[in-house]
Formats: sequence, C-alpha cells, structure tokens
Amino acid sequence: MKKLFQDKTKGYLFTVAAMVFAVVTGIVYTVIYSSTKYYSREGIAIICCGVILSCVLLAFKLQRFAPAVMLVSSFIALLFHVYYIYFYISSVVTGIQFSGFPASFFVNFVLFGITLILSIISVFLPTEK
Amino acid sequence: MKVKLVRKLCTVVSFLAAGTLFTATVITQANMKNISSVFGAKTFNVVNENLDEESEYYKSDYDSLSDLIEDGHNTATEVLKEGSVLLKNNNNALPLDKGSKVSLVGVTSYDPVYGGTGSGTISAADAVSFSTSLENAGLEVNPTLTENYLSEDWAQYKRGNDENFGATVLKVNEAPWSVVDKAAGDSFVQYGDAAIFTVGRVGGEGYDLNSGNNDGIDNNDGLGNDYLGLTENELSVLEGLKEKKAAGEISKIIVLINYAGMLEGSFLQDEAIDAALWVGALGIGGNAVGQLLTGEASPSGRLPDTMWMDNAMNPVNVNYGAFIYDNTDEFDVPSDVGTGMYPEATMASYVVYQEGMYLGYRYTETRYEDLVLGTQNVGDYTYNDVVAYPFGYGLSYANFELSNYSVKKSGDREYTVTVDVTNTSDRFSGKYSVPVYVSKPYGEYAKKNGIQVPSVELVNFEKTKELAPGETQTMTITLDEKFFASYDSNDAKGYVLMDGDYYVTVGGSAHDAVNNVLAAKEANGVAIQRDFMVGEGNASLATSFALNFDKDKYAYSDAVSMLDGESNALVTNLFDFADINKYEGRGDNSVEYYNRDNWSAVSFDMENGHAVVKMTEQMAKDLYAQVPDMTGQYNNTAGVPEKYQQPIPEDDGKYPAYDKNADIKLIDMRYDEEGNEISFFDPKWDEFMDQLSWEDTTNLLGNGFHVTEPVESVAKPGTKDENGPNGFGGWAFTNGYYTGTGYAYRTEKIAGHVNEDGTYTEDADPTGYATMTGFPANGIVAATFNKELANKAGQIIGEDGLWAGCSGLYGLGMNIHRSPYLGRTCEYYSECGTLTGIMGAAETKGVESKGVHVYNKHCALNDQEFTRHGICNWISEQALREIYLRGFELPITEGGAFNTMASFARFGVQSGAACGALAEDFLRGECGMRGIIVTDAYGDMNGSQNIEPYFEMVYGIYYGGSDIPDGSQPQAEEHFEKYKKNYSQMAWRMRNAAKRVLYQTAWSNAMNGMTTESEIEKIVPEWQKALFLADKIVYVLFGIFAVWTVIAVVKEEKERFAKR
Repeated sequence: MKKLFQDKTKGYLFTVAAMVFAVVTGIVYTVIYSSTKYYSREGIAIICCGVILSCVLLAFKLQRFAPAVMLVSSFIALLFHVYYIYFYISSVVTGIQFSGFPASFFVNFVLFGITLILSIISVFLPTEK
Repeated sequence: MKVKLVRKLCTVVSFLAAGTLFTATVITQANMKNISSVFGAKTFNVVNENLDEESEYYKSDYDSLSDLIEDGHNTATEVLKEGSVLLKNNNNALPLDKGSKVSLVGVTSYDPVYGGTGSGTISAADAVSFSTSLENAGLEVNPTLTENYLSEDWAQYKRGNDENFGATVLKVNEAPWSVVDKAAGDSFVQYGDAAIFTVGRVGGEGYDLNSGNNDGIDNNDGLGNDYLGLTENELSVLEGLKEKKAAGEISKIIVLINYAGMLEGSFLQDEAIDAALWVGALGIGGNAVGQLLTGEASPSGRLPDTMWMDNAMNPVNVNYGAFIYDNTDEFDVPSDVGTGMYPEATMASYVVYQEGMYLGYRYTETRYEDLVLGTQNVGDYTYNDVVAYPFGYGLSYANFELSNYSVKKSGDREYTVTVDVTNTSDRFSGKYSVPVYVSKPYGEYAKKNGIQVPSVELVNFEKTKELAPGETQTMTITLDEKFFASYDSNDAKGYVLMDGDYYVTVGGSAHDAVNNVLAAKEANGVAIQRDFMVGEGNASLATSFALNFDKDKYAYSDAVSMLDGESNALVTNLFDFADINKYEGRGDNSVEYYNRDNWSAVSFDMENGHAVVKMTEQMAKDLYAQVPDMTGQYNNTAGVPEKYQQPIPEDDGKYPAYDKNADIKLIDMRYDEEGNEISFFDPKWDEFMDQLSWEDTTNLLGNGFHVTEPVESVAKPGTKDENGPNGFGGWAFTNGYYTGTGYAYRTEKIAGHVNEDGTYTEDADPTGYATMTGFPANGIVAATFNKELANKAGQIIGEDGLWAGCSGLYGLGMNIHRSPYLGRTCEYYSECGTLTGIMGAAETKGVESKGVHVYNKHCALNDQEFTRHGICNWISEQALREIYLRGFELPITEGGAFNTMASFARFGVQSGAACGALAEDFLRGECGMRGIIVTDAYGDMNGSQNIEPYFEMVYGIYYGGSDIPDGSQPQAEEHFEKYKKNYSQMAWRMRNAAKRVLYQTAWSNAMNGMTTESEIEKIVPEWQKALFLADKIVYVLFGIFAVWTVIAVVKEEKERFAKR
C-alpha cells in the first residue's frame, strides 16, 4: 500500500482521500437515512458514480480529471441531501421538532463536508508529476 | 500559472455558489407562500387603500400600541394571579411577609416554563422570571444560589432533552442536593425565611410525556420512568430541605409547580411541605407569582384537572397512546411505523376511549359516590389513595362561607341559582368562584339504554368581585336545563331528560359537590355508608327536584343551521361509525366501555389492559377511501390496492360559472344598500362567486399555510392566520406588530413613517417591534373560573391581531386533558368539556370582537401527540358529544367562533379533516358555524413527514370535511387540476368552500382599509426578487467561468497531445 502511494502527488492523494471519505459518507448516510423519507437515492447514486468514475480515471492515468469529478459529484450529492432533509430542518428550527438535531444529523453533514473540502483542495493541487 | 489558479478559483467558487443558489431557489420556490407568511413578507398590495376612520370596520379600544402592550402584560398577570391554585397552606405558611429572605431552589426556579413547544411556544422576551417576580414583590432572594444555578459550571443542571432522531428523552436534570448544599454554604441560614422549590415540566406540540424513558423513577406501576413524578435528584433536594427545616435553618418549604398540567400529587402529602402553589405555565404573567406569595393577592384558582396521587391510578392511561391492529396484513394495510420525526403507523393504529363518560373527576367522584352509596361491583377503591386534589379544588388566604343557597326555575329551560358568598377573613381580601354541579338520576332508562351518568358534572359558574373582609356578594348563576340532558345514542338517538331526581349543588370542588349531594340524599332518606366518606357534605348547599322523561325538548339544535340558514338541525346520531359497537364494518369487534354498574371491570394493567380491536375489510376499505390514488409517497409506492380504489366519480353535470364580470367586490358583500348585513345565503353571493376564475378557486383552496390567498378579481385581500392557542406572543411575528398591514402599519403610514418600499423610517414607534402578549397556559385561564377575565384575554389577543393586521388565530385549543401525559396541556383548558367550552366561548368572543377569527383546534380527539396522525379513535357518541365536542360547540354557539382547525386523528376510521358528519352535520348544521375548516399541518398528512399518507385535500373538500389546507402543496402540485372537467360535483364543493373562505374574510379585520375603490395587486416578495437577481448573476458568472475552463482544458489537452 505504501508503495502504491509513495510516488504520488498531493493532488492524487487528496483525491483518493476524497474518494475514501465519499464511500464512508455514502455508507453512513445509507445506514442512518435509508429507511426514512429524508434519504436521497439520487444523491447516493451520484456520489457512487463519482467514486467509480474517479477510479476509472485513476486506473487509466487520467487522474487530472478525477478531482473535478469528485468535486462535482460530492457537491451535488450534498445538495440532494439538503433538498431531502430541509423539511426536517425547518421543523426543528421552528420548534415543532422538539428534540433538536441528533448527533447523527451532524455526523452526516460533517462527513459530506470533509468529502467536499478534500475534493476542493485536490482541484487546486497537482495530480501529476 | 496565476491565471490558471484564478480560473480554477473562479470556476469552483461560482460552481459552489450556483449549486447552492439553485437548491435554495428550488426549495424556496416550492415553499414561497410559507416563507413569505413566516417572515411577514407582502405578497400583495392594496391599491387605493383608505386610511380614513370610516374604513376601520373593526376599531381598537387603544390609542397607542404601548397602551395595548401594557394592558396585555397586566391581563396576563391577572390571569396567572386568578388562575394559580393554592394546593396546601399548612399553618398559614403563606403569604410571606414582604422583606422575607428566601432561597429559590431547583433548576426550574431559574429556567421557568412559560409555555409549551411548537405552537404553544411563548416568547421569553417579555416574560418575568421567578427571581424577578419575587424581588418585584419585595422578597430578597438568596444570591449565592442564584449565582450557582446560573453559572456555566452548572450548565448540565438545566431542564432539557436527550436528542434522538424521532425519539426524545425528556430530562429534568435537577441539581442533586449534595451539589446544591455544598454550593449554598451557609446561605440557607441567611435566606431561611422560606425555601421555595420549583418543580417544572414541559411538553408541547409533538411531545407527550409518557414515553417511559424520560427522567423519572420507575416504581413498577407500568408507567416506566415517570416524568410526572419527582426524579431522584428532586427527591434528594426535598429531603435536603426537610433536614434543613428540621435543623431550624429554614422556616418553611414551599413548592411551586411550574407545569401546565398536573404532576403526580403524592409527594405533596408530605407534612414537611408547608405550602404548594400550582402556577401552570406562566406566559408573560410571571409577576403574579411574587404577588401571590406575598399576599398582594389571594389565590382564587380552582384545579381544571384532577391531580392524581399516582397516574397509574388513572385508568385512562391504560388506553392512552396507540395500538396496532394485529391483522392488518390480511387486508393489505401497511402497519410500518414511519421513521424520523413521527414514528407512527398512520393507517393501522387505534385507541379506544374505553372510559367513555368516566374521565377525570367524572370517574373519581362517581366511583366514590357509588362506594358511599354501597353500590355493588364498586371493587377495590380508596378515594384518598387515588385523588391528591380533586377537580375544582383551590384554597385562598381569605375564608369564604356560602349561605342562602337556592335554585329556582326561571323559565322554560332556565334555572337561577343564588347564593351569598361572604369573606369571613379578618385580614385578606379575595375572590371566590362558585361552580355549580348537577347530579342526574341514574335510573332504569339510563341502565337500559347504556347511558352513563357521572355522579356530578359542572354546568356553570361565576366568580365574585374582590371581596373585602366581612363583605358579602349575592351571586346569581343561570343554568340551562339543556346541560341536565344526557345523550342517548341507543333509543332516543338524541338528548333526553331522564325521569328522576336531579340535584343541583354549589362546590368548591367536584368532591365537595358530590359530598353535598350525598348529604342531601341522606337527608332525603337514602342510605349512605358514612365510614367511606372523605370529607363532609353540606346538604343546605344542594337542592333536588324531579323531572319527567322528555326526549323532544332538546331534539333540535338551538343554533340556526349554516347549511340552509333557516332551520334548526335535528340532533341525532352522527357518529355511529366512530363507536366500535355501532360501526357497520365492525365485524366481530365489541368493546365494553366503563359502566357505572361494573367498576370491577376497570383495568389498571398498563401493558395488557387496553381494549383490543381487530381490523376488518370494511375498515380497510374506508381507510383507503381517504388516501390519494397512487401517491408514490412513503411506503405507498404501490398506491392504493386495486380492490380498494374508490376514486371520486366523474359526472357530466353543469359546472359553476366562472370569470363572469359583475363588478362586485368583496367589500360589497358586507352590507346591502339599506345597510343590512348580506346573508351567506343571499343570491347576490352567487353572482359574486361567478366572477372567480377556476384558477382563483384552486389558488384559494390550494394554499392555507397560515394565510388565505388574495384574489385580485374580487379585491379579496390576503389574510394572515397565525398561532397560537395562548395568544400571538409565540414564535410568529418576529417583526412584532409591523407586518405591512393592520393598525400599527396604518398609524405609522398616516404619520409618514413608512417608506415607499414598505419599510419603516427611524421615526416609527419602536414599540411596534415588541412581542405580542403570550398568555399563561389555557389550563390557568380555565382555573380562574372567571369568564370576564377569559373574555378580556380574548380581547387582548384580538387587539394584537388588529394592530398586526392578523385576522385569524390558530387557536384557541379546545381539546381535552384526557391524560396527564398529553403534551399539549398548555394549549388546552381542562379535563372537563363543559369548563373547556364555557371558558373557550368567553375567550373566543373576545377574540372575535376585533375581527380576528379563531380557528379553534384541533377538532376533535387530538388528545395525544406522539401517535395522533391518522389514529382511529373509537368512542361512544355520548362521550364524544358531552365531553370532547362540547369544547368546540360552545365557542361557536356562545362565542361566535367562525372557524375551526381539524384534527390529525380519525373518528373511527374517518379522518377528522374529511369527516362530513363532523364538519357539515355537526359544526355547520347543529352548531351553526359560519366560517371555514382548515386542516392541521398538511405536510404531516400527505406523507411528507415520513409517515404513510392518509389524507388528501381534494378528498377533504369532496367529503365536506375541510376548506383549506394548512400547507401549500395542493396549490404547488396542482392537485385540483384534474377536476377542471367532468367532475361537476367536485367543482360545486370547491365553489362552496371558496365561498366560505371569502365570507369569513369579508367579516374580518382584513377588510379594514378596503373600500369600493380598492384593488388587490399581487407582487413578488422582496426576498424572492433578491434571490432571483442573485441567481441570474451567479449563473452568468458560472457560465462564463465554465466556458473559460472548458476552453482552457481543451487547449491543454491539445498541447499535451502535441507533445506526445
């Protein structure tokens, strides 16, 4: 594993990190929300497509496009997440949902956020030597 | 390189901004009406608005806003002063001397409960805390304790909840005595005139208190960790205070109960507790607490609910919550529990109101009377183990004696009760309310026909003025004989006066009343078992008389029906379908409601004691009839099973006329040329309605999220209809009174303080940004037993609406405190339908007097929160009418309530919002309700909240249930478009609903400023204009940068290819 990454650029590594976090985000998101109305299948599909396409690009030495793919997919997935859960958020904000936001709510947003930030950073870093 | 970085930066930033704005636009567009409503953004303008006095059809009694706000504060304080109930006062521990040094103990002492959650929220901005209240009243409060309770180090000691997605664990988080004692040091000695320990609980919209997992002690009574008992830490504080008292460090222990409902009262029996005062939820009237504790005012409230020793002794709790039909699979009815906010099975849950008529005091006092009368099958029942403080109980610092009691028949159906009330105290002035109870005969007719007759029932009351020591006031209280009648759903199918002796008595409490009746019965030769009596009765305060059987006298309603405008409706069975013993599709189901002849059958088994009902095929069919076809919503992707599909039938009938120009505006529909009110049934309304287009109609009926829509073609202004049940001082109106319409706006407009764009200049009265009055919990309003004060509170709410340009109130709350664990006790009045109805009528009348229409809610059976969506409530018609609907009936018939909000719950299998028997036959027919019915939050019913969809607005209107949704989805999703052709029946129902919306607007303060010259002009709200502008700019920028990037990448790839 160490050998696999030893000669890679920072952009490449950040891209891979973004892909790993995207997978984790997708799994956690599915575990928490899949049985609820707030689950976005579109979001999961897009983030999966993003990860798969990035893998393909890396495999075919087209890694320079992978950060953009990850950025677009992770951001659109986040927007779908927001779109599906805003109703719940509004209920909490207006006080109808007395319990407030549970930890799982924040965990999801933090994971989406980390994935997006890693993707953004990787866009600005060189992916090839 | 730098150019590349700039390009990337621009592209990424513009991409993120464009995506964010796109999503924001999609979301806000779908909820545009709601957002504008919440933020008070104008969606229409009145052209040629008249600011002259002659166009003020509803006038204010106040010259300035500050006068109104001050009176609002004073009235809220007065309500709390008269509604707080003194539960015990051993050795005259209260009142405290002014200047006394007191220690305020308990987390709630420093974090008072002002209201509830959700629609019962009260803004704390103008609320008065306990310490401020006590200091204002001249008491000195222990600063050491105050400092510690409010310190960051004690942040963990604050009432709250553990957050869980869809499951909340309510926490008292009381600071344990060891921590309090250590922090207090020797300050208790210095501030030891009294220790005031506040016990607080809070519930509200969406939150009952009976999860069994909350903060509380599980004493194995089946209630789990009981949030309404004391927690271990609270008990430790109480024990600690008792030790201090025993050691002479503090002189008295006073308990304040700061919860809208009733806690379990067993702990108050402890002799070491000197005094206890129930203060409900305070609203902004908190100053009253200090005034009561120091004797500036004498308590005069009476409990609106029974306070049980232990809630496990309340049999209602056995049948509280929701149960799942265990055979739903046989009928393809989904029983999946929704996840997320509302984990409910909305198509498969039920509860039986098995207690029937025996709710609260109607149970405790009837079983007690039967025990004393030696009736068979009373079972094991010890009154003192069951009741801590009865309904109607309340002490005062003053002492009162009742004398010269008499009851005279004063008309065909009127009785006049007179009684002298004398304040025998030599020190304290005070008020005294005189509740009147009736005891009906429980004879052969009742037994034969299954009519249940509680031992005593409240029928009316009045309250004295402030009586000085030695002063006497003769109270005259009028009774309507109709309250002596019982509903017979089996034989007469109507209200009947039964043969036999009726006793009328004045309380005190319901327990005093039944003791008076027992004493009078004994005097009349009836044998009673005195050993079982708890307390003494006073036969001189009870009068008996005989009535003959009569089933005709009250066969017709008093109100003129709003179905035809001229008849009185025949009162007959309307809700057989809600009684599992009468419902045609009941199959083999039957339930034994509680019966006075067999108390032994009452179960206290919280786990298995509930009444069980099985689903039948007819139930499934009836349930599915109300579900939209193929909605594709949560767990309903397959839609309605084919065998159950019952779409609204097509027809080839004639549609109403649309788009005709008769040049009639809504303002013209108030009075005719002779100055007479134009009736709802006047033919002119037909001509008027023909002017509306199909789109006008669907707009009007498709969106009702805290508004009714403006209609340009007939110059109908939009209206604002806002929460809540305790006044407008909750979460709405974040900009105070300045909403762009209403008295506050008009006053500033005339003064030249409103800019062209509708914003206010710096010279505008700053009080316009103040929060409106939030009243104490409605249980406190009820506890005042003061109709005039309730009416005054209603007038303040109406004035607040008038000044803020709000013509609808989502309230008052008329459901019943069926269980102490009901989350929304703060919004509702009482366990007694009659008290609810009488006080609700008085308050409603005040609200309506200012052109603000109430939407009394939630009609009906919304007597729980956790599992209220779609639940099938099975109930006898007698209980439904005499308890649960009375709270809605009297505000309409006596208080002039225009509108009603429907319930999430079902009557049997029939959704409350699509129940023609309720809406048409009862509310409009029997009660003569003139206005509209709005659904409860529409998003909770159509699957949006991650629960099975169980109601659709189209069906609600077709079945005659509702007129508008509390939501905008039907408008945004164009639910009505399908009915534009080939559905004339549907179109006529839509026409009638639209007419009702327009009629109620015509008779509201929304018409202030409208003249025959006025027009309505719809506008895009400012916030949306800004959003659209931002969209355009960002999309263009993103487009430019994206093209730049594509060109650059293509160029790079070409260079790369060339290099290779």
